[in-house]
Amino acid sequence: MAMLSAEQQDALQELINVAMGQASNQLARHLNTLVHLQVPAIQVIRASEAPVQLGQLYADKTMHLISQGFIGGAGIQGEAMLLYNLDSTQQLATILGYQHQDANEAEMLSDISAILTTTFLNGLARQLGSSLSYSAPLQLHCHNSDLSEQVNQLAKRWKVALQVNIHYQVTDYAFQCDMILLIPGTALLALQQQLDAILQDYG
Amino acid sequence: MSLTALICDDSVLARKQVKKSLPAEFDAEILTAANGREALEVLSSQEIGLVFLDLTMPELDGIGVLEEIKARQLKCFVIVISADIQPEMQRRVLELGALAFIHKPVSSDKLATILQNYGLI
Repeated sequence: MAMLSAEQQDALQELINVAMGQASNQLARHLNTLVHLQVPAIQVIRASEAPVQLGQLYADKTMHLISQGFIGGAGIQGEAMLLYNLDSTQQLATILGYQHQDANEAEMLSDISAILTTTFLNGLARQLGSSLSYSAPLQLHCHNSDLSEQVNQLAKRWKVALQVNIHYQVTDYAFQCDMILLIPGTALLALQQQLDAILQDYG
Repeated sequence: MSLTALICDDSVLARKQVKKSLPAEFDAEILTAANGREALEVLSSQEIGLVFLDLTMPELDGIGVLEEIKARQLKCFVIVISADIQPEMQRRVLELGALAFIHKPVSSDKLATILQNYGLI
């Protein structure tokens, strides 16, 4: 089921690209290197589909999940989830000079997530003429089979999941994570109205 | 002499944003392209005075377009309008011969200033 029209999808993709550009600029400053960040096509699905999809995608992997709530004006609220594959984070931690210990890896992911989530969401909200507040992030280690269940716990409160797969490259090392924005149906409605208003402005 | 300008971006919204942000005094025919490859096709089939170029695009990205313009020694001005706002990217783009680098979302003031600075309005 398509939750957004083709025009709305294009507009949202562009707003997300701009917001992600701001996040990668912040990330580049934080890491003191050029960050190539790419956002392939976004996907809007029912929140109830997210646990199964992600569970299948990362069936045998050990994942690190960071989740943070956000709330803003005009009915925009939700939960931003970042999913990292731990197999690929160790090398990045080494490149970035974090010590080879679990605690520091968690620290690195928490730093990166703070930038990806707040800079990105602030940039997105600004373009939609709104601003956001955040709750403290929650960090979870998920060993293969329980990923679905963890995501399910987080997703069940919400109706819509906006999936953004983020690829970024630091030096010559490619790194990847998934961002899933869980929002209620009312926030999707508010988002659609704002996208329509933007589209009308530039019609 | 009337100018033909090309707006190259893979997003429909972004192309509209650029078009709408152009000052009224900017007297040019406006063409559009949805990626770098399409832009090069337009560039080789007709004379384009100015290109508004996005960087992150499928098929061929903005850097690829700038390299090709340089290699073919095409005489067109390029203004890059990008969401990738890292200083390093800005440096690279200017080095490849772009006139200016504008951060997305594009603002009409910024666009007017640049067009004015280069005598394009």
